[in-house]
Amino acid sequence: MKRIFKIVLVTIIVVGLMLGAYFIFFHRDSNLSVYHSANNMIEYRHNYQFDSSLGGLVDLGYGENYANAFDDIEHRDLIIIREKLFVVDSADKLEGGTAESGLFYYYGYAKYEEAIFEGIKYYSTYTSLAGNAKFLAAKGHERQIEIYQGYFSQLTSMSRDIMNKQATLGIEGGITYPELLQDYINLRNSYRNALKSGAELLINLRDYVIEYAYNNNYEFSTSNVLYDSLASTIITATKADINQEINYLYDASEYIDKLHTYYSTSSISYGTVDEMQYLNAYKLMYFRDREDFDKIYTFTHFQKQDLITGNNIISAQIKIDFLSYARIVVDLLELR
Amino acid sequence: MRKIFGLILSIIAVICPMIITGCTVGRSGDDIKNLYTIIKNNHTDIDTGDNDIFDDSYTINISYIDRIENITLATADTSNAKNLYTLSNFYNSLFQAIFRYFENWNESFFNNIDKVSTGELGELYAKLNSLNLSLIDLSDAKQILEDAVVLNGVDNVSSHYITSYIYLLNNVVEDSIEFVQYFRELHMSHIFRDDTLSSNAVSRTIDEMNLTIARIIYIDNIRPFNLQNGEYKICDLSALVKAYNSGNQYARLDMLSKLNKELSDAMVNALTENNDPTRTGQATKYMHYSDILRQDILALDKIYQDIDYYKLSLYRFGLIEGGVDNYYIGLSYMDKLSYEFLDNLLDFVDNTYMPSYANIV
Repeated sequence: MKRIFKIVLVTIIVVGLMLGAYFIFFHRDSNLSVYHSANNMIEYRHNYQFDSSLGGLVDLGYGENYANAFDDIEHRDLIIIREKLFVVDSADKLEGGTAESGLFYYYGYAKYEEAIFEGIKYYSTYTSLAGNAKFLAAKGHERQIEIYQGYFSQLTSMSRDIMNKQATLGIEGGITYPELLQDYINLRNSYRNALKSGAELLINLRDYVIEYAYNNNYEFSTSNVLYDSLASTIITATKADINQEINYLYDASEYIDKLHTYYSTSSISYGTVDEMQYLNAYKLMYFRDREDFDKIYTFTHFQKQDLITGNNIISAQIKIDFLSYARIVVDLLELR
Repeated sequence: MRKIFGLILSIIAVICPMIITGCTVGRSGDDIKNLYTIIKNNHTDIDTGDNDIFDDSYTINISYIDRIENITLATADTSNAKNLYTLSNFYNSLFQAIFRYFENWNESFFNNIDKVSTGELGELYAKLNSLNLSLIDLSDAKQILEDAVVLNGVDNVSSHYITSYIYLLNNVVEDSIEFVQYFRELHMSHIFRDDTLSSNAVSRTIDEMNLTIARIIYIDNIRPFNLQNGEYKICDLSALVKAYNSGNQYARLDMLSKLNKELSDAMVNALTENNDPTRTGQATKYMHYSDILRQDILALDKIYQDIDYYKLSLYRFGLIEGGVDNYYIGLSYMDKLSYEFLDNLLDFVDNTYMPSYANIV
């Protein structure tokens, strides 16, 4: 009797393990969990009034007269950080830099994050078709969506906290400039992490959609190429040293500009190449040389220009068979 | 006892697969062709031999209601008659776009019918039969409407007869789309194998995109106006006409119709087979945009929310005061996404797909 019991028990355990392994590694989830998670996240952001609380911080200004601020080095640093966080003027661009000086015109983090969020929305729609994705792939994406969503509440509470503290500047017992500066630095760091998290989510959603929604039979459009390029560039920027990220964010701002143009006019200029040439090169690189495809976006703006003009050091980093395609992909940048 | 048990098991063995496969009865290609013939014959006048639904082709062509036409010609251009006349032209253009795929590819399909399973043909047969039933309902409604018009005059007829008729006509549109759509799926998965930029592939894509645009127009401009409250089923005709008259929504169909007429086989061949780089480039671009539209339509089918498109459409066409923006603000975020997706898709059709088709023509 005992022996039979043992056999039954072992059988149950083995069957249980096999079923577990099947569901984790082989079973394809048909419940569209990624699609629902993504949409919950989008709705959460909407209901949380994430944007308006950050907007409140932008409207609050710098605390005192702008023109006199540069006499005080801490105040100047504060302004620079705020400029980095938010869009700073009517032209949506930071004044006072040139490509030659290494200080490019660029958007604030908030603008980048907003564009990344739009890209996430774009791909979220298509996850509705990935009903047969593998269980683990779906779970991984759900977790990433949760992490990204976590930043909405974190950034909102941080910005509200700063708003309250900034109101006490100059009041006895209120916050000092060094303290406020540190709070802004913390906010900037969180924003940077949110940006990285969102950009990685966007890229992973793209791969997920291509593999599971379209079974690797996918046609890229100009808008999704621009979203991908934006996200890939931002990933590199947020992985780089914070003082070096500007070399990548310049290109990212170019992609956002092009996205705006594309959506308002349904067409953009493609540098020296034709749209079809560009999209075909992009598709070919994505499916056949993923290593170099990803590498392109780790190049700085100047390195990308070098790739187009045939600089040997940069060109040598791309496989010879794909070099011409890589140049076409990068050529989209050469608008200005 | 054992025999009874065996009998029960064998019954289960027969029933289970039927339940699993949705009780679809297997059919042959001849069954489908025969049913099509029956459908055509159903609408043939025994005395005159005239057919008020079909001509020589497979395409539905709703003839303008004869007795109303006579009345209209004899009297002033009254509003109901004008509406019916305008709409019947519109619906016929829509049917042409829908059935174009079936017209052009049914021969090669039936010639290679052995590649398609009887179960799939059974499904196709069921969809055709559903269209058959919708057409019978439509014919009945049409008869009632015509009688009412003869009795009361076209502009004194109760609007209910007209709105019920249009409701059923919309059902015919939906069933036509379902039938041709499934036919396309079978044709693509079993028979058509041409991924290269051949004239054949371009032609097939044009036919498929006709069907796609017709589906978009149906989703955006027809379905919202079909209203059902229990047994009470009507189409909001004034909203439909208003939407029609607003121009831009139906302009797509007019343009499609115009382009279809201008496109000749010779042109399609010239696109791909005379090595003209400009023409080949235009064809490549068109095929690419068609692929994108195909991808987007798949997503639209999945995410299309069952929101109150009727109310939304009334705002859009100015039939309710307040403006569409005010209504839009009140939508849930998911509904907004659904609406935005459709809106973007329409932009893509107007600004990218249509110009690329016009280019190759």
